[in-house]
Amino acid sequence: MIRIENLNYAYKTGAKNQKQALVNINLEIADNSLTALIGHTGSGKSTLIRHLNGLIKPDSGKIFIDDTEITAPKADLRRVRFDVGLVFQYPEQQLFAETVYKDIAFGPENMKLGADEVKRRVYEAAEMVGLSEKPLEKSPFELSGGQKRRAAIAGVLAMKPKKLIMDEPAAGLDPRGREEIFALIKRLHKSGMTMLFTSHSMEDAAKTAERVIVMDKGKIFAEGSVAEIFARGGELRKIGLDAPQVTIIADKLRALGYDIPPVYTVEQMLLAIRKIIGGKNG
Amino acid sequence: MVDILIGQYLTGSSALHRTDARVKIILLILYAALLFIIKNPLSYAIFLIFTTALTMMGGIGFKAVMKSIKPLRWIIIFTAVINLFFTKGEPLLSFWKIAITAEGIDLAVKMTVRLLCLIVASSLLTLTTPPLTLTNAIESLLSPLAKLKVPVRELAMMMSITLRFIPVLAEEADRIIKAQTARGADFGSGGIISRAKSLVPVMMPLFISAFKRAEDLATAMDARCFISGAPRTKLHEEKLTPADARAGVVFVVFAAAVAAAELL
Repeated sequence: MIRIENLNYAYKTGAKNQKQALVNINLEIADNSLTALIGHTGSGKSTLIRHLNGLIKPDSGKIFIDDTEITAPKADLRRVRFDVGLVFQYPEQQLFAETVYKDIAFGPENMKLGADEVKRRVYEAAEMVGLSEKPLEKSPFELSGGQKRRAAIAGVLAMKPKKLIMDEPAAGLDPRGREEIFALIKRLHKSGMTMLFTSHSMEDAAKTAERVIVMDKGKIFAEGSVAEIFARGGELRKIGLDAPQVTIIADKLRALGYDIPPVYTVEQMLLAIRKIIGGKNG
Repeated sequence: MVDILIGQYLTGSSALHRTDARVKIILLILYAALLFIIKNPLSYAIFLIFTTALTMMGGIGFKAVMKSIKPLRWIIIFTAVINLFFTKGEPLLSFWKIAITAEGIDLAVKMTVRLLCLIVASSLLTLTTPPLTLTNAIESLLSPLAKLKVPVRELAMMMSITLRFIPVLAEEADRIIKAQTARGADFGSGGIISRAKSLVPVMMPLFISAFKRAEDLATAMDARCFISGAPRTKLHEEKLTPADARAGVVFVVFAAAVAAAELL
């Protein structure tokens, strides 16, 4: 469980200037949940998640990871970082080693694990993200964009974190790469990991997540299940976000008199339409 | 956050800020030349008063001044000590083989004042002029050298691009350091070798991205028909203003006062 209490944080932009990035954040993220954190660029998403493994210290407030207060003055942040994996935006930009294998091994080696254990974890992580053995011996710079991204994610997975946080995991990928990443997120969630990812795509959030947290101007704007959040399309529009397009179309069709339940993904829409057509034909 | 201040520019709108950077550079050179030919203690006093007045006029706080002196404090102290103990003359105090002479005290004080004035005056230039304006001013002042086939424009362009990308790379370094820290990287502990090794995961991605950026920039410049060495105009043409004339007058008055003190 991740619990955030009254968190405040301001960026120092000069000797006297500062920009309030996070305002009084209170959140609880349950174990084994799959949460999407959505909001505009600059809404504070990335700043918030960097607090969750101690990369940024808050100005005030507390953060608990499984009842350990990581904001305490003497918290063991290295341990926290092995428990809470954080995948940055465009993680492939941080690849550095001569081979993909060595890059993935960087995390487990920092954990001071034995050579056998490191090896086992590298292969395990590579398999999880769908990299076969062959690319492991290549230079990371010979891989395709989607493969690089997955190799970088494997580097974090190899530390076997209990919770995995990903910042815009699908940013800059082609549709196929996006599919693969979200399939991976769902797979990791099924395997028992607590997953949190940020996104500014309502479609991705609706398709993948169980819970949605909406941020706006450094505050939590709304929090709830996918259905709860996207039922509030009007409010979302006011802060420059919106419900997924299929949800809007379904709402319009319903207004025209069609019997369509609220839907959030293309698949749900397909089912709803089939039902109407099937009903008429049958 | 990585805290990198490029130059030390402090925003402001004082007369010093408004004076053309070229005028400031030329006056600074004259100021330094004058500082090293004066002999009379009264001239030193005038220098101290003038420099203090300029600092106050520029709205530069005591802290900023101290910050520019601090890195050079050992040189100042060293120079003062050397002059104090190793100047020949009438000994005032002596113990063992070391003697302090009146001439020594005189020279130590003068050298200290000289160095202090020089450091503070040159910091005033960088504190009140944005780095890019400074680069442009240097380009403008060196432009006669272009006739001697010195690539002044290219050098100035390189300087501006460098300045432009320092904050970008600093931010990138910060992000990469955080990302590797999230993977358990440990910076700044262990011996020199292990510390140097721990920088590889930061330096490699940083270099790769810097090269990528350089390539992108070159392509973008090509796409906009950049030709090396072609004469270019500026968006903000620097023109001399009444503020520059005032600066000139103030400096002439100051120089006259110093000259009077010397001739007395």
